[in-house]
Amino acid sequence: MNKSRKKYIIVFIITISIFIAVFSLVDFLDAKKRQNISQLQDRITVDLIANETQFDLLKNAPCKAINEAILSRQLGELGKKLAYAEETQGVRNQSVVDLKKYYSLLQVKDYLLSQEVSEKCDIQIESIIYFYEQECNDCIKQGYVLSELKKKYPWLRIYSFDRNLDFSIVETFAGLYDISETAPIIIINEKKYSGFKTVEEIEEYIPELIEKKIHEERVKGGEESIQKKYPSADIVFVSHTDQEYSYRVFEENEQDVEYLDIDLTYDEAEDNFSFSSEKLGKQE
Amino acid sequence: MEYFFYIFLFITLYFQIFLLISFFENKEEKIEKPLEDSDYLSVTIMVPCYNEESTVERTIKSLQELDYPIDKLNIMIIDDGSIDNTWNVVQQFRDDSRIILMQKENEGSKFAALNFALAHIDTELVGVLDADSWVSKNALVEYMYFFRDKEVMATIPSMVIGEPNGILQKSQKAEYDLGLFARKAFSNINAIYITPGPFSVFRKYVFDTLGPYKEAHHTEDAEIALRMQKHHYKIAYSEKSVVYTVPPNKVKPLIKQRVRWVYGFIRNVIDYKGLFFKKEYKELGTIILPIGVFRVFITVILFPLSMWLILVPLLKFLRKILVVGYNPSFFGSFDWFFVGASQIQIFTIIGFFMTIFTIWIGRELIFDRRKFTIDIVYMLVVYTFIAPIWLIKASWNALRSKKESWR
Repeated sequence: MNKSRKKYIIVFIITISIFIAVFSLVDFLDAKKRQNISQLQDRITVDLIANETQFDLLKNAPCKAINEAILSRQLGELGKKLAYAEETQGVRNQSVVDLKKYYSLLQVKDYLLSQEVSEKCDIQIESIIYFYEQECNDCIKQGYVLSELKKKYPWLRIYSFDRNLDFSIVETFAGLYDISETAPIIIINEKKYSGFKTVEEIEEYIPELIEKKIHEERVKGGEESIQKKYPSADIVFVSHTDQEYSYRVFEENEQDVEYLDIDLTYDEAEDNFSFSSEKLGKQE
Repeated sequence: MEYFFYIFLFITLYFQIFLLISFFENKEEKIEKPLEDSDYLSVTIMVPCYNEESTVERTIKSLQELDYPIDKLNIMIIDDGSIDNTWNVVQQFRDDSRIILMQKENEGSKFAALNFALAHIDTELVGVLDADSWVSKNALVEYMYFFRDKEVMATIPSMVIGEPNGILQKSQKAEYDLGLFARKAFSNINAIYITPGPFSVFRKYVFDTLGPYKEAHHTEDAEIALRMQKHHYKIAYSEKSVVYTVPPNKVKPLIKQRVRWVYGFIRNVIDYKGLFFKKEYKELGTIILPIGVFRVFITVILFPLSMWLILVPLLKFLRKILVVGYNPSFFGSFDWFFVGASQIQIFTIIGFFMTIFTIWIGRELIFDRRKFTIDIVYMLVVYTFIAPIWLIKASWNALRSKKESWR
């Protein structure tokens, strides 16, 4: 065969191979994604059923058990994946639309359940309801702000609903808050805020967020100062009043199950803890 | 539409791979044994100047310092009717026996000045050096290794940007280095289609047999090369002969220069379309020229599009930072769910790495050690925005004037 013709063919083969490689890589990734989306659907279905069950349990289960079961479950992970699927597959993709409907339903259920728990067990659950629209510039920015808040305050519950999703439940839910404005709209403690809101603004609307964060840091700080004194101890936070933080400390390798009840006083000016009392106790 | 796009992409990729393979083809052209006295051919270097008072001095000095026997080298300075101080500036070289100073009326084109000088030359070799460029000491001697081959009719140098300043010139530096790769690949398959103004050296025989320079849409350096190719005259590339040139440092002159180049290239290739798809012209006729012209048109689409695909995620990221600040978070676990790419994105990445790779080997040719420099980034960004301007303008002009000439 002619030498230069051979070269044309070799180059053609290489080029074709690169094309095939690229297209099959994309196919592979797409297949992975489709598989993941169907897994997502399964998980949402399971969650929906779990939610139903917890509602029934709530009637006679103790608050403590319910609390943990509900508050530890996070929809955030599902939401993140859904948002990504939306971005890559397009908002009009049928399986994305279906997923979003399921997810919206799950969110409404979760919201109702957490309201119920909050009332029955008298605990505060910080949550934000967020209505957005497709192709809305402020909504993209608002989305960034909300994910930032979620990162900062992991216990914050954010329920986001796409108003363009043709789904009666979302409409009913929106009707509860009498929404006529254009997105983004945020609802915090039954109060409606419309227009783009920054991280700082939202933190102002929910002062509990910062308070809780400070409280968490204090509790942790107290633990650290006890740890310095008893490096190998197990520390459990018990309660706090004002500037008093009480802990129960279990020393390891003790024959009898003894424990120390320690009270710490927090000094705001100095930003440190001092030991105010230590009491030895024994478990029966 | 999408399919057209992939066909374009396929042709572009085919061309790049073709060049890559050609680049690594081994071609024994240069005869390595030491030069003998008879290998030093007599040379005249023509330096046409039109209003070059600030740069011509450096150009001539670099020629004076060439490592070449004094009695074999002539330097012919042609003042092409400059209206600035050029003629006075070159007077300082009057006493050098190798230097001949000439003056003529300006006729609005460089080719006329070159032909004017050609009429006075009877050395075996004749070269050109633009008055804004300067040569390295060994540039001419290196050529003689190639001219030992009786079939080599012209030799071209490695053109690089000397002392680049500012983003625009640095972008051009990266581009020129990339061009070295292409030049080497072309030379390996005997497909050099331009003998650039900075330091191309010909056998006088070329002009004696093929005639003098032509107007050639203001790109006489492309026309003469194509004319040589048409007659199967061999053009060699001496990568060790480095020539430095000063590029435009403003956007407008750069666009003007490139419109002239691209326009001239398209028009000349159309004038020489007889070379297309003829067996005797091999790769030059089957691939290099046809795809070369075609590429001008598709680059208008492909280059900005691929850059756009890189810039969009970047802009999105920036917008996020503007809203909530930069808070990197690290995913503890890898999740296949968040991995995804489109074909075009992957091709863009392939193109990006190919660009870097070709610049790398271009620099390897001239022993430039600094391979990955910021000017590559400048080039990618700057050319995204301004290259389409000259490509579109030149293509448009070429199409329009073609129509006119048909009337």
